[in-house]
Amino acid sequence: MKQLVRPLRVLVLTFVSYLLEVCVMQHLYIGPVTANACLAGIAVITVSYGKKAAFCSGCIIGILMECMLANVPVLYLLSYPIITMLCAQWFADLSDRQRERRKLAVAMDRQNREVTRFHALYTAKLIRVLKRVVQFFRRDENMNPYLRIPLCALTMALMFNTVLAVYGYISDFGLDSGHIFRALASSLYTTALALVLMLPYRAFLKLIGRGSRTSYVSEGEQA
Amino acid sequence: MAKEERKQKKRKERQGGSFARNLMMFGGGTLLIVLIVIMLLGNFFDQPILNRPSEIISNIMTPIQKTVSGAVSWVTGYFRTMKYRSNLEYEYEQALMKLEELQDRAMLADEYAARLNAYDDLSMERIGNEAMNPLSATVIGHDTGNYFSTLELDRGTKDGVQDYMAVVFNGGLVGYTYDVRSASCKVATVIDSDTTIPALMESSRDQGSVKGTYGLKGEALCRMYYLPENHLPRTGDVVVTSGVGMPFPKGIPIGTVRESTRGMEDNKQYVVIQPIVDFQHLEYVIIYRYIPSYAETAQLNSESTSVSATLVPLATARPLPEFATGVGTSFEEGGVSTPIPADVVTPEPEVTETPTPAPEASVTPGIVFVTRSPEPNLEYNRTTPTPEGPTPSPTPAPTPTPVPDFDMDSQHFEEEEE
Repeated sequence: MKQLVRPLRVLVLTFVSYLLEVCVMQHLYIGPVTANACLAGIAVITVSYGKKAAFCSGCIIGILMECMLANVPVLYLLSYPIITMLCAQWFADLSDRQRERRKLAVAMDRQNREVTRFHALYTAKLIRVLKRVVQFFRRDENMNPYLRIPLCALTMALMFNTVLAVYGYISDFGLDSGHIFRALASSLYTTALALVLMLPYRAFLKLIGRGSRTSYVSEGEQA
Repeated sequence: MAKEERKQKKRKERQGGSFARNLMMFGGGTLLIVLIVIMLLGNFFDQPILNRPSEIISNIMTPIQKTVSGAVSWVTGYFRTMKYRSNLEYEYEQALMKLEELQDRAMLADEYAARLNAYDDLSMERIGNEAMNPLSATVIGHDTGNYFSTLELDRGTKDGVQDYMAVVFNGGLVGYTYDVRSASCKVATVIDSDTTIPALMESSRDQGSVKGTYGLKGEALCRMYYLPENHLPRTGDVVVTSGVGMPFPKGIPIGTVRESTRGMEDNKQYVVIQPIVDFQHLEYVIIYRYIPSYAETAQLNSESTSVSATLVPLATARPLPEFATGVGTSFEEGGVSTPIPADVVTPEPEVTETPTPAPEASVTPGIVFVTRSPEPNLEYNRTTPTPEGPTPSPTPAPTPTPVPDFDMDSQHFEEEEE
């Protein structure tokens, strides 16, 4: 029975996120934009419980939105799971196998860098910056989850708004700078909401406070 | 041994839990994917069975969503009511503040209106009596004693102010100037006990003198003495300055008769005058810098008697003074006097011709009479209505003027001689 607690928690958080989105966020408009509580909740679940939980959560949200609020057929049903899976690949905890593989890759990179140190001095600055960005996503250690959650939420919101913008462009809605501004503002608002929600959500998931695991390494993938 | 058995047991449980969890996650994921596929197919194929899952989900979620939405609406409504109430209190405070501000502004507007009325009255009075050389002045001091009522004005000799100039406000006499300095002067008000101003009843032209009673009774009243005994003034009669006895403009209203006990009590030989001016609220006054000349004062004197003494030139070398009526002639000291010829025998005139004063200096043996152009008979022009006082009697019958009791035939008038 203890093994069912974690999936139930994920299920509850998903429902809560959905209810927040459809019932509460309509009262929390800031100007013309509002945040996406579903994406904020999924971001927390993604970082906290890993890819499988994130995928399930994305599927549930997509199905509920499609059943209850669908204006455009299939849009929510597909966009939520796909976006969730993509972001989970980047922001979820690494598995042990992945971590070992990354460690080997990083060690090899360092060795190669020692060999080609002389050439590295003449490497263009832009290329070095790009390499650092790539290495950021290929690290052998997990990033702090309190940093990953807002980043995950921001990425998911940007992707979701991009999907909507593409749909609007295809449907000849007449995109203008106002749409882009609202999309960016909505993404930032979603990020801020994720920052606010991650504390109670992670407390509910027993990742903060009493009985929580101090180490955030492989929280999801170890399960 | 027991520890190892316990560890093995826990390991088995963990492995079993992990298996159950993986199974559940796999099953749940599969179920979700199947649901998504069914719903996708339901969008493309119009089969009722394909729409069934979404209907079931909708039927389950609708009451939950409705309940949550109602609760959220209640909470937001409560906060909205709180915000509305706080806004209401804030607006109420603002309205109160605005009300106080408007009350202050209304009081200020009333004050400005009163001041404007005062300025208007002053302006009207200045325009109406422009010939009397008016000068506006501000009251800068009051004598707050119980016995004297004097004011101090901000005008003095450098503005042309002299002693005994009339000070007027709102169509009523305030008093006269005295103790004039270079930049200030004092005003003895008509209610001061030391002030005596010659006055007359406007209706009956009975003359007397007005004296203040502020020092006697402490009231802003006057008394008029020396009225003829056979005339009883009526309540409401207007008392004006007469200009007799002192170089003072004529016709300035002083006040109205408030009561007269002369007829009832013999020991009260005066009538009580209610001044027109409100001495408690004097801020601005007008000083009339016009001082009648002596001749005009004499002329004013002559109005009551209608007889004045002038020199009538005769054909003889020694003209004798003779009583004559009329105005406009005066004896000028500056005239060139011709010495009287001693040896000339003057024939007795048959018909004495009174030389009419000509505009040019007439060369007459004996005394040279120079006709002086008559000065304008300046009298106070009452521009503002007399303020409220005791209501005059409805039928103001003219008081009979005392007729001089003499025989017309026995009198020698100049006109008759002509």
